[in-house]
Order: sequence, then C-alpha cells, then structure tokens
Amino acid sequence: MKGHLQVERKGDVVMSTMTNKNLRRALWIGAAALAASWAVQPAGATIGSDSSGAILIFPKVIVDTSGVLFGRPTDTEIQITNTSNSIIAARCYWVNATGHCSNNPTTACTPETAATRCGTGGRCVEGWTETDFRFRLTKRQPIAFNAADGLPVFPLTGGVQGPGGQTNADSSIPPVPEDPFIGELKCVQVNPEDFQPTIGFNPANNAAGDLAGQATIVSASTQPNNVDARKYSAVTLKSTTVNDRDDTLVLGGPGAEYDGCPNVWILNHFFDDASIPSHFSGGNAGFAQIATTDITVVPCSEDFSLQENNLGGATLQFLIFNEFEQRFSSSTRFTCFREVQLADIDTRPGTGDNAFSIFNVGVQGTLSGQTRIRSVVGAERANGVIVVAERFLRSEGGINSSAENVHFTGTRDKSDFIVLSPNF
Amino acid sequence: MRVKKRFWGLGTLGASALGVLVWASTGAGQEIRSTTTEISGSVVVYPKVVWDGTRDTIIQLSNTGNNLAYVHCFYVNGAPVNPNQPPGPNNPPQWTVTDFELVLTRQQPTMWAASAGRRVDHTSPFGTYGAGFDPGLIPPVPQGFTGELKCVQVDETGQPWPGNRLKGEATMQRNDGDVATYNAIALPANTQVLPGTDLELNLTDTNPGGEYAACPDTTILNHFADGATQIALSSANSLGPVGLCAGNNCPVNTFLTVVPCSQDFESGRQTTVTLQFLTWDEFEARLSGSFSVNCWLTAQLSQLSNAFTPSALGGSTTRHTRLRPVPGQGGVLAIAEELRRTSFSNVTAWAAYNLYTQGNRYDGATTGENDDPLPAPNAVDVISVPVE
Repeated sequence: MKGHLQVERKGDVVMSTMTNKNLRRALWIGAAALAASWAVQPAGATIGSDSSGAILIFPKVIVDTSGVLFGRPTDTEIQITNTSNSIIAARCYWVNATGHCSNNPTTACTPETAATRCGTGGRCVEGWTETDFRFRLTKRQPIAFNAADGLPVFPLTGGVQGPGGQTNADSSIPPVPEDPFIGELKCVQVNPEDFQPTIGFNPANNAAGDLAGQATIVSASTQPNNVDARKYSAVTLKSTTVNDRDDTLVLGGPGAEYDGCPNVWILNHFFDDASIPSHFSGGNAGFAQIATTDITVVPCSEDFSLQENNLGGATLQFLIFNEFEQRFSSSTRFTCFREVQLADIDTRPGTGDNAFSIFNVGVQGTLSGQTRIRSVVGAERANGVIVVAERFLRSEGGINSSAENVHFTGTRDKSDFIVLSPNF
Repeated sequence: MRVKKRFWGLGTLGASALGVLVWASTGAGQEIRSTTTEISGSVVVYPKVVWDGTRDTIIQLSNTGNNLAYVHCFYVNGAPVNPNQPPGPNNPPQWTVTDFELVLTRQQPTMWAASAGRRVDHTSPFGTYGAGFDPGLIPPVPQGFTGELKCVQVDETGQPWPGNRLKGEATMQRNDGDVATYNAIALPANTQVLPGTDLELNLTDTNPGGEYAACPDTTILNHFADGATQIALSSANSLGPVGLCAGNNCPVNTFLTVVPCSQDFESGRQTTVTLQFLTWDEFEARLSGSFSVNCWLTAQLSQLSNAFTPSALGGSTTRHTRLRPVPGQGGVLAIAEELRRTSFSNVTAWAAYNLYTQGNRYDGATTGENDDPLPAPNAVDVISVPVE
C-alpha cells in the first residue's frame, strides 16, 4: 500500500490511488483543522417542540366562537403536562394581540377583515395586553382546557388529593380576556413554594424543565356540517441550569438562564394558490386542493412587567427557494405578534394582489418551496422569534387545515429577555 | 459487519473536502445528539405514509444545505399480508421494501404524492405537479400501502454520508379534503465519523464519537383518553352551540404509529420491540401495560390497551403516557394522530402531531425516575443499508 492514501471508514478499507504526498498532506491538514473547529462547537441545548422545557410557548391561540374573524366558530384546546415526578408550578400569560378598529375600539378585527369590520376611515390597530395566572401541577399530571372557558377549577382541589398527597392548590386558569381573541400563551416554570423562576426538577433530562404541551385549533360549522382540527406542539425553552431566580429571564447569550432563540427558521411549504393533486389512479389525479400557508411569529423578548411591548419586534428577512433552485427574498416588520398568509408578506392584506407575490405559485412556477426566516439582530438584543405554521387546503368541500412546528438552525450571540410581572 | 475495499479517487476526496468546507462555512455546526423533529439530519423518518384509496400522503423533502445532497430512500410497506383481516400474529406486516435514489440541489425543496411518485419529466408545465428540477424517479406506492418512508443522506457513490441536511414533512389528505401534517423525524449524524453501511444509532452527549443520534429512551404522548368527549365542541361557551356534539356524542380518538429504530434493509430481517407504558390522568391516577411492535404498527390506543379508555380511570379526559422499550431492546420512533368525531358520523377531522421524547436508548438515561422500569444501558440500534 505504500504510496497510497488509506483511511478507515467503519468496516471499510478505503484506498485512494493518489500518490502526491504534498497534496495528500494538505488535504489532511485541512481536514484536521476542520475537525478541530467542529470539536469546539457547543453541543446539545436547543429550544424545541419535542422535549420538555422550563418555558412553554404556544405562539398561536385563537377564540372566535361566532366566526366573525376567522370564518367559522373556532376555539383552541390547550394541553399542558408536568413530565416530572415532582410537583411543579408555572406563571403564565395570555398575550392578547387582538386588533380593534381605530374608529370603533369595541370592534375586533384583523388586517384582512379591516375593510369589512371597520368600514370607511377605520383601520385595524393591533393590541398587546397580557393577563397572567398561575397554577401547580402534581407529579406527571396532565391538564386540558379550551381557551374560551379556561380551567377555573383544577382536578386536585376542594379536598381531592393525588396518591402522594399533592394538590393543585391556588391554581386557576381564566378564559381568554375577549372573544374574538388572537394571541399567545406563554408559561414559565417556577418554584411551587415561592413562584420564582427555577430550573427543572427532573434529573433525567438534566433539569432542563418539566413543561410540555400541545394546542389544537378546532373549527366547526353546520353549513355544511364540517369540523376541522390542526394541532402543534408548544415550543419549549430549556433551562441551562443557571438561574438567579429573579423575574428577568435571560434567553441565550452571555449569562443565559434558558436556551436562546434560533438564528434561522426553515419552513417547507406549498406556494400559495398551488393546486396540490393527490389520489392518483392511472396517472391522473383524483383530487386536488388549493393551498395557502400562514405563519405566526411572536418575539422571544417580552416585558410583562411594564405591560407593554417595549422589547419585542424585529424586521424579518425571508429567503425563498423554489424547486428550480431559484432564490428570492423579501422582508417585513412586526412589533408584538404577527399572523400572516405568506402571500401577504410582500403584498397588501387580502387576496386582491396575491397573484403578484413571490410566495405565489404563479410567480414561482413550482408547487413547493423552502423559506428561511431570519429576524434581524438588534443593537441590544438578539431579537429572536418563535414561529409556527399552518397550511390551509381548499376544495369544493370547504377549507381544511393542519399545523406544524417549523424547523430551525443556529443560535445567536446576544440575549433575549422576558421580564415577568411582579410576583405578589 | 461487511468489510470491502473500494477506491476513493482524488476527485471524490477533493469534492468531499470542498463539501465539508462549504458545510462548515455555512455556520451550521451546531451539533445535535438526539432525534429531532425540527432540525435537519442525515436520516429522516416518515413513520406513517398511507395510500389506501381514501387517504393519500404528500411527501415534502428538502436539502437545507448549500451543496448537493444525495439521498437514498426506502418505502417500507407495513400493510398486513391479508388486507381483509385485522393485523395480528397470524397476519403480520408485509415488510416489503422499495428503494430509490434522489439528488437535491442547493436548498432545493421537492414534493410528491405517494400515490403518484414523481417522474423525471422536464416538460411539466409551469406551476403544475412535477414542475422544477426532478430529483430522480420516485415510484408510486400501490394502493393499500400503509407504512413508512425512510431517507438516508449518502454521497455520490451511495455510501451513507453525515451531511445533516435533510428535513421533511408528510401531509395526509383524505378524499373529502381533510388534512393532517407531521414533521419527519430526523437523526443527526456525527460529522466527524464516516459511517459504513451499518448505521449505528449511538451518538449521545456521553458518546460523542457515535455515528447517528440514538433513539429516544422514553416517548411522551400527551393525549385525550381514547373516546373522551371533545372539550371545545361540547362546551356551551365555545363550539357547543354549533350543534356538532348532540348528546355529548363527539369523541376524540388517538392513533399511535410506531416504527422500530433498528431495521435491516440488507437482509430483510424484521425487528420486534415490546413497549411498556405508564399512563396518568389529571387526577394523578396511573395504569401500566405493554404491547409489541413488529416492524410497523399503527393502531387506535384503545385497541392497544383498555387502559387508554376514559372508563379505565374513572371517566377522566386527559392523559400523559410514557412509552419505553423493555430492557435490552432497541428504541422506537412514533407519531400520533387524533380523529375528532362529531354526532354526524360522516363529519370527522384528523390532526397529526409529533411527540416529546426523553433520554436515549444508548445511555438508558432516565435513571432517577423512581416509577420507571430500570434503564437498559447500551442498546445500540442499527439501520443496515444495502449499497451496490
């Protein structure tokens, strides 16, 4: 073998016919340098929606029991679980981002319905108010409630105890503050004794946190009879196991108490108005639906103490790739909460000019795309965001939907901050 | 373990080194050592793909990197041998495997319907099915297919490659328009180890020299008791007035789909895993049980055990279930679906979701949980991939 490059590749003896020693040496030096650079990269901790954490984020919760904003009566079922063997507690926040008409503050609206809901001279002004609450969960306990009702009485209260004597004392979840409602639910794991932030209690997941959850947005109508459900997992931020227990939570960056928010979100989607065929037989599609995709974006930084959104918001940069490997870009800005159809990112709200959007199939020419979403880093904060997506498919039978957690990559050097309301 | 010799030409080595350099320069060196549903990996698993005449599945697969991604995919048909009889020991899954190869260009997304596959047809009209760079010939699955799709990132010679650039989604469409989407489960690989044809799932924080992320030790399923009344649809303050839950007759059923992590595509050997479960309700009442997965399983929870029904725990509605292979056995990957029924038998909706996980089978890392079975250390799952 002298004069031949030989490397071991698990079970294989791999040989090269290359005999140029200098080139070989250069390649291996380069490979060694790359390997060394990998070796110093941080391992492990990321946010996620597939493992429990110490901060639980449901980016999109909607209630519209009369169907005036979202077309059909709609509510959101929330499931929250304590995955640990210990009693835990959480301080939670309904973040109400419902818009209201500038000329009629009692009328709820969305940018898409402003023309019909607010009329001439009115515009839809987005809101940002929070309602906080707290609860205890006993060992391994799951709870479920719908946002329109909340959970005023917990299962283990009123003299009812779990097998180990634990209870849900001092626990109550109010309904969302108004109907229609669109906004976010955020929960922070706290110590069940003093309700101050804490690391997780479960050594099996390295004390990363013990909260897990899902949200299911359910719509129903009778003309015609139709029920629709879309479900996503709550995004969790894991504890770094460093926590000073004050009400300012540091997400990522120097002195991080929790995972930082991702650098880039990666969304696979159908281009808006694409006709998605299925049920093929003999080469012909037996069924097709028209697709659109909505994303919901919430900021990682939020100030619940001052009751205003003085920390959130960022410019979002989009890179869009179609199946021809062609690349497009766009951007938009949001402050506290943004729920938007892809085609409305670069066009006006509503369907009028969606055909001109770079998210439209008529512009892109392929059915599917990959979009990378990056919030621009601020001078003082990471300006990270959390994203979930929903896909809507229309056919003669009506509109059906599904929700999905969005992929991501990378972390940021700077921190985001969540400032909790005072713990009375 | 098969050992063979092959020549790695200068061009291949140079291209690989360049690819590594490009990969590193993208700044995506965040090393993940667990299975994930939100970060790209070198193996992506779609546990449930169905084309039964009523439901079809739209597959999306993307290359998240800036260089070419070569992909070797395997359809695994888990339909029972006799489709007219319920699956069971006397009617096992077919476990037939069909494979195909794809090439995805920089950041390229692609999609196909399971019932159609995708042809290599450069004349597909603008904006229609098949438009775009065709990644390769993708065969259709036969009607009646219910099983799994697994895709492995490889190099240009077909050898597994730890590129960590694949992500995917599956959308199941019913012929009345109902849809349910889940994320493919990704197994990130150790970029410093070139795997052979036996992919060892042993990469963990305690074994950073492993190859691919170890499968989870515990799968955490949050669900409603199987057959419990839907909360929103039955509430007078919520969707109750719509009238789709007459007499509180609007149950929600949960279906679980499970695939073993170990698969031998080279020899065609089937894998069986026995899962033990613990399930708690909102009153902290607990039940346990077990069931087996032979190659591939999809089942309504109450078909797996009566413990998942509301009456098993006094009529409670919500559950926290933890699933774990018995000691010594390898791991599993799973997704769940909810079927939301109404008082009208033909009005239902599916919703799919990914599950939480904890620990890994290689470390048996859920020590310290006093009501879990003892950990089973060092169970190494292996995916054996045929390479010509």
